[in-house]
Amino acid sequence: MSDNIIEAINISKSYAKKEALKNINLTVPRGSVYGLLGPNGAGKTTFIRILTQIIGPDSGEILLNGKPMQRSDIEHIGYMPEERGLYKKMKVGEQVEYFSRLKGMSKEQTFDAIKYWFNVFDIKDWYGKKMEELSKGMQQKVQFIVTVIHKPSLIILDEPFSGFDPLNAELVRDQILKLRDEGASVILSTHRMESVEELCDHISLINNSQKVIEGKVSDIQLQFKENLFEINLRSDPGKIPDLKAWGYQIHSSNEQGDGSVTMRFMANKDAVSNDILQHFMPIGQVNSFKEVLPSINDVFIKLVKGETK
Amino acid sequence: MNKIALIIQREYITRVKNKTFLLITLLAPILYGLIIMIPVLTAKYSNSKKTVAVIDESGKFKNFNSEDKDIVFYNHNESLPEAEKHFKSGGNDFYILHIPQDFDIYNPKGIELLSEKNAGVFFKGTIDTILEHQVRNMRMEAMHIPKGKIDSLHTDIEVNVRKFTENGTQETSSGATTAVAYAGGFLIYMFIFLYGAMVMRGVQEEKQSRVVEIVISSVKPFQLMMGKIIGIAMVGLTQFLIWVVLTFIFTSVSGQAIGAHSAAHAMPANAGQGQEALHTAMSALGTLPIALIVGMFLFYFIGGYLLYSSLFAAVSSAVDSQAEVGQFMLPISLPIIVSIASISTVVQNPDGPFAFWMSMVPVTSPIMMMARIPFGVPPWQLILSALILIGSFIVSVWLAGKIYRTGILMYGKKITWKELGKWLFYN
Repeated sequence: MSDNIIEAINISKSYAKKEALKNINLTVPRGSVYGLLGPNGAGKTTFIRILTQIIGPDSGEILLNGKPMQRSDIEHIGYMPEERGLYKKMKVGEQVEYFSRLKGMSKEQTFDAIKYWFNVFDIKDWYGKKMEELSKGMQQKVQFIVTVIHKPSLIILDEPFSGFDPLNAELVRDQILKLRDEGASVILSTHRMESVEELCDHISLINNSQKVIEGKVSDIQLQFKENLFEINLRSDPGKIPDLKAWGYQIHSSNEQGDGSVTMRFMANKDAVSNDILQHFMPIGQVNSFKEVLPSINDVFIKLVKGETK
Repeated sequence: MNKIALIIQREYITRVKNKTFLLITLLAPILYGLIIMIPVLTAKYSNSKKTVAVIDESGKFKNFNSEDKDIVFYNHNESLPEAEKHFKSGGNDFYILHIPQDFDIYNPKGIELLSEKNAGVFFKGTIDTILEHQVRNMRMEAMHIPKGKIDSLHTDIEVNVRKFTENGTQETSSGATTAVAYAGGFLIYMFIFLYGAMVMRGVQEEKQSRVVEIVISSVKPFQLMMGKIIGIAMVGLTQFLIWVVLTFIFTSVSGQAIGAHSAAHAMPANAGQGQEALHTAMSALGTLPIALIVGMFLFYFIGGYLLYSSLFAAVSSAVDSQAEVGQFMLPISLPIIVSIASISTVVQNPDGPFAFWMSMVPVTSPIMMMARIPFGVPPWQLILSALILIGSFIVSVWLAGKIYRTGILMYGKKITWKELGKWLFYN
């Protein structure tokens, strides 16, 4: 079996006047949490709809587990759209049952799965309530259950944390990681960068209908590193020389309450951290020293801004 | 279970389990009954006696008599102006019938009926008939035709209508046939609108609540649309079946009640009359091809419903709110409205070219053919019309499916006919 759950090959899609996706190639490794990033209107939702076979691409192909995707494959996909919604007048239990049966589960399987998930999210008492009687947070929980109840091998979540309070967001995050550990692959579409770094192993960035970058989160951070270092140093203020003399560009320098100084500076491209550290060691006590890698947020902004320029 | 079957099941169960459905299904026949009964009952039990003061200045008229016991005539000796003065004390149901001095039986003009309120059309009709009767008698007397002969001229003729069947001829009733023609047409009209609107609301509900995107990540949009349409059709058929059963129970119970009532009151003459009337109506209905009518009714209901509800589903999917459906609704429902307005024309000449073409064109045929069937339609016409309808609803369902799958994911866009046309060609 292929190492990748999804391979998108040269996917293009246009609407009447607008090109939504241009020759997109993406690879989602099996068992990863994959962040699909991009500003609003970049084409993320269109790509997800092609994955879920809601719409078809104009050209290109999607491979699932190395084989061209079939109609029946949608039973192995769980999808939570950004715009949430369930049948308002239907009872919670009936609703979850209906959707799991639409995903091809038998009555018995559904029954066991409902029992499990209603326990996890502590909503057993809500089984017979109508959706419209539930609070927004509660509805989101039901929505998440509907997405994963049939144990999909690919879970696609579009902005999964919107609408959750921090407590429930954590609950959902834990469940996403648990599902991944149990073997599912997760595609997470979002523009909330903090959740990306927390959760994702791989990301890709789509901007203006095109893929801008794709890879492991750590690789991308290394790729975009700017040789920025941070040091915390206890020393006499007079002893600290002008860093320019060493060829460093100072970004910030803050005196801490305990008398130490925290400095951020940019070194030359070919500077080695051991050499840098040796510069500082004679002038005081180094409490901490590290290279500062760019956040995914920084990378995102840099790339998107660069694109629009 | 097949996915489309799951959708049908959900659409059906959620609607049938709904309390409103139960209420409407049970109350509708009672309401219809009341709508028919109320005017009859009020007419019967509102014993408003009408007093008519006759001021006959010409002196030509004899005593006025009415078969209606609620109208009382008396000769008033005052002149009209004097009578008018006293008029207001007479009350609401007090009338003055004024016949001028120069009344001429060969030019019968100038008779007036005065009252404080407008005389009802039936009451005025009664007065007209009484006057016409008297004037006619006067003219015959002027021709010296004896009274006995005048009476012997009065005849009542009811033509017995018979039609050819395999077993010779059979008695039929034009009245019953016409009634069935109207009823069939109206029921189809009602059902198409009622359940078509249900489809429209269902589509709109799913689009507005955004649940549609989740559903179509599990099934094809076309399956969802067809599941909804079929599920609601079954709701319609269930409702229809319940109504048929209720009507059957109601008529047999009320039939027995009439019989029991007559027996209890020992009015053999009246009871005989009532039962005879009932019997005539029933036997008239019995001569109609009931099985064919019911069968074709089901066919045209399903065919017309599929045709229209798929179009309703398509336009409903394209817009963001129920209110916006309006601009598309009128052109689509125009043919139904034209059909219902044409029923009387078709009933008058059920074999004419207008009736023929209207019962072939698929957007009008469900109603128009139902109006023709009770009068007898050649089999080839029935088959042709049915085939055209089947072909049309296949095309309309297919087209609607194409619009629907684009429409349900489209938000915040002003949709035009041109736009809908483009969607037909999307992948």
